[in-house]
Parts: sequence; C-alpha cells; structure tokens
Amino acid sequence: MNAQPVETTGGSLYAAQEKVYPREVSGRFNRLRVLAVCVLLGLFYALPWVSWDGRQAVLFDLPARKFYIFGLTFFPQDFFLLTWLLIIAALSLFFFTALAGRLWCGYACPQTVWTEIFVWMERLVEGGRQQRMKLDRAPWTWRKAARKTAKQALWISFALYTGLTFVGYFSAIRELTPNMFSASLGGWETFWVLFYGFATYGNAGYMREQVCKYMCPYARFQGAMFDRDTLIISYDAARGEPRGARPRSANPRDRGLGDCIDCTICVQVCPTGIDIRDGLQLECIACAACIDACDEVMDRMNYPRGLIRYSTQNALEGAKTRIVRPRTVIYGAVLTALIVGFFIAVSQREMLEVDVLRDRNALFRRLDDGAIENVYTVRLVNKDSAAHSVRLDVLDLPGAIVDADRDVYEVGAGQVLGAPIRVRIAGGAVSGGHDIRITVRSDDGRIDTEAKARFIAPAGP
Amino acid sequence: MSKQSRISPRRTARPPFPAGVNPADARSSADSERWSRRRQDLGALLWSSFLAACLATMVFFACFDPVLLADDHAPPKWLADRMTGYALGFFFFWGVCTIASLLTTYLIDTRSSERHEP
Repeated sequence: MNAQPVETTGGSLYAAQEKVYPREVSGRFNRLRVLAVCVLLGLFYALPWVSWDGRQAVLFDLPARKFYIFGLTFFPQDFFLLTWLLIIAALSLFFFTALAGRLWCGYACPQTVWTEIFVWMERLVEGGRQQRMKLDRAPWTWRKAARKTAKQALWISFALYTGLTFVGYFSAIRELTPNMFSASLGGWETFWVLFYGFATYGNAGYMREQVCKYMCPYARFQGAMFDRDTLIISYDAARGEPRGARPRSANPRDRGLGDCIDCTICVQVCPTGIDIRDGLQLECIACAACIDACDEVMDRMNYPRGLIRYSTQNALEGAKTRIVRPRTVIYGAVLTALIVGFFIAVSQREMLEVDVLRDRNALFRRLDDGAIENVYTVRLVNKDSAAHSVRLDVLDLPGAIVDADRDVYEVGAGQVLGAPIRVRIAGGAVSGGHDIRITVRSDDGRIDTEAKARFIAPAGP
Repeated sequence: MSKQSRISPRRTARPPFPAGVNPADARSSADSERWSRRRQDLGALLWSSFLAACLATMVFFACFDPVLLADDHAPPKWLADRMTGYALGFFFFWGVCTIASLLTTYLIDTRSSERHEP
C-alpha cells in the first residue's frame, strides 16, 4: 500500500486531528515559488518605505480620506475606480485559471506566500520533516522547549512586523515604526497591528493549507473555469501504471511495470496531503511540489522526467491542446478592454474637481445699488501631485461678475479648498432662475473645468 | 548503489503508524487532515462574513464619512475620530454578517431529513 505517513500530534492546535508534515522539496518549480515569495513579500515590506514628492508613495490615508498612489491622489469620489480595479483583478484570476489552472494559489496567494516563510522559519529551528515529527513525538525536555520557544519567538516577531507593515499602508510608516518602539502607538494602530499580526500568525503558522481546503471560496469555484485545455498538475497514469517497486537496474517493461516506482514521495511533499496519482482533486493548490519531487526520482532512476507534470487533459489523452479557444478569447478580450478603459479613465480624470454649493440661507440678495447677488461656495479638490493656481469666472449670464475674496486661488497638491464667491448682476437685467456655469481656469492652461449652478433673481423688476 | 537505496521504496522514509492507527484508514488523502465538521463550519462562516464585511465597509465608508455621520447632532463621544468610526463600522458589519452566516449554517444543517440529499 502506498500509505501516507500520518502522525497524530499531541501539542498541535488541532488535538486529535492529524497533522501534515510536508517533506521539503527542491527543484525548478520550488525555485520559481521562492522567487515569487521573495518578490511579492519584498514588495509588500518595502513599498511603504518608498517616498514620492516628500510623502509616502503608497499611502491609504483613511483618517484624511485620501489615497496616494505615487503621483496620483484619489478621493472617495473616485471609488468607482477601485471597484473597476477589483473587477479587473477578478477577471484576471478567471483568465489565468482558464489558461493555467491555479497559478494564483501555487505562487501568488498571500496564504501560500506567508505559509512558505513560516514553514521556512519552522525548518530553520526544528529541522527537516523527520526531525520535526520526532520532536513532536518526543516528551517535553528542555531542548524541545527551547526549540519550540525559538520557533514561536521567530513567528511572533515576524507576524508583528507584518502587522506593522500592513498598518503602515494606512498610517505613515516612518512615524509608526519609531512610535511602536517607544510604545507611543495610537490605540487603533496598536489594535490593528495586533489584529493583522495575529491573523498572519494563525493563518501561516497553523491553519496553512486548511484555509485553502475549507475556507477559500476560489478553491471551490475555480473548477468552473477549467476545461480540457487548462494546464493542470497531472500524473501520467498511462506511463506510470502499474506502479511498483523495482531495482534501479531492472527494465520495468520486463516486469510488467510502469514508470511509477511507488516511492510515495509525491504524497510526502504534498502540503495538502493528497495523492496526485488519484487524479486532480479540489484540495490541489497547484504548488507543483510533487512535480519537483517526482522529477528528482525520475532522474535518479534514469527515467525521463515528467511522470507528474503540468499538462492538460487533452494532452494527456494525446489530443492537441488549444490555448486560443472561446473561453480564453472572451476572458482575454473583456480583460483587455477593462484594463485599457481603466487607464483612460485614470488619465482623463479631471485633475481639479469642482463642486458648487449654493448658500442655503438666502435665494438672493438685493444690494443698495439695486444689483442682485447670489452666494456660492466653490469646492476645489486638487487630485494632482502639483499645486495649481486658478481663477474663477461665470458663464451663461451676460453682464454678471464674480466677486471673490481673491483673484487667484492656490490649491495645493491633494488639497481641498472652499472658496466663497458672490455672483452679481445689475438689477433688472434678469428675472427668475437661470442655469449658469462657474469656470475654473489656470493661467498656464492646464486646468480648464467648470461646474453647473443656478442663479436666482426676483421674478419681477 | 547508495543513491538507489535512498529512493528504493522499501527504504523510503515512512514513519511507523502509531499503535491503533490502521494505515489503510489513514491513507485516503483528503481524510488525513480533516477538520471536524464544526471547525469547518466555523472557519467558513467567519471567513465568508469577514470578506462580506470588508466589502460592506469599503462601499459604506466610500459613500459616508464617519465624521459627517456624527455631525448633525451632538456627536457621540465614542465617535471621536474617523479611525474609531471605521473600526467600529467594520466590526459592526462583521458581526451582522456572522449572524447571517450562522443562521444560514444552522438552517441548512437542521432541515428535515427527507429534504437532505441521500
């Protein structure tokens, strides 16, 4: 029997549950994953420290309700862009799933990425698979306690650092970090550092692939995007079966055997504890550990690699794999359209947004010289990374003038400014309500925008 | 020769099963580390309500500024700043979504027997 090595553990969080001890693996797909982990985690930890124009380059400043992403500033009014971005993200996931299966799970999912780091720390302290199983079985000694404590210390400090970095995306990290070490962190900041730190610790240290199996919605519906041309991790049963042990020198065909030597290493390396030789399963997160492990075995046996490999159902059955097919074409076309549209929307965005609010107290005022005056507040929102100097004027009301406190309003980068203005017209020139436009222009011509408003004059002369 | 023996099936590192565990029982892949039903339900309902709460928090606070919500009348003391507003909003949504998930799980679990799939 190809029995899977399973141990019952005493001290694990899941008492009475069985724990998977994935065997360490090396090979090209593992190197690819380590590379992905380094790049993604490197980005995550480094990005908050990048500066741009004297401020944090990527900062979701929730208290000020402004998102800074490099040269761009986003306000709550731009929420549709975020929604748009999330739709693009979801569709990309569909597209890549149809094309190459669960690439996301194996290389890019935060769950995978942080689990990888936590497993690495565990190995650093507790050793390889055999040593860990032995250590967990062994009675408590000072040596065991020291190892477990060291592991927990590493895990907890890394989790806290992760929590701090996460909060650093929302609250300037260059102030946050010294504050944390001088214990003068704000209440909510402390709370969220601990909250995110604890979530990282629990998810990456303990729950690991159980999250993929029991809690991840994507794991359940990814099958809907699969077809016979999707790249999946598969065991070539036609080549491998019948499986069985044999000496290295023997010709398997003479013994009526396939290429699978039934060493069960593919099962031992599997972090979700499945046997890929049973076919594609929901639990498979496409980490390709079994491919690396099997390739190594095939090399030692002098058999060709690829008994377990990335393949498609069609390829395994000898048919041709089609990359261009209705599913990928439609996903790809919609995705391209959305991405192009997104960049157009961002680049065409008005850099200065203008809102005009009428004074709520009076419809109009009649001045001593008989002129009619309406009062407005012009709200100027500068979404640009540069300051702009603008002049206000009125259109669609011949003879009207704008009386503002200043000729030129200077709106700093990311600033919101309320400018009270009075629009005045000679008495008797107009009567009743008129739609007008308030224009906002900069002398350098970079800003030229307008907003609608309503001018109200008395009905009679 | 030594190379071969390292990967020969008989020598493959295969730890002995603890007494009382039948290897055949433990073999089945998915069963090897199965969460109890209750833990599965709890994980799924907390996680799905967390995701829904994130979405609700995002949409809600993109439309409403917690400070303005408290602006009309005397602002409640606990709504001192936006951070408090966001945090309480998030946990409020998470709580409500958890109740919905909990009830869904409970109702699906306690249907009369003839409605269950065989």
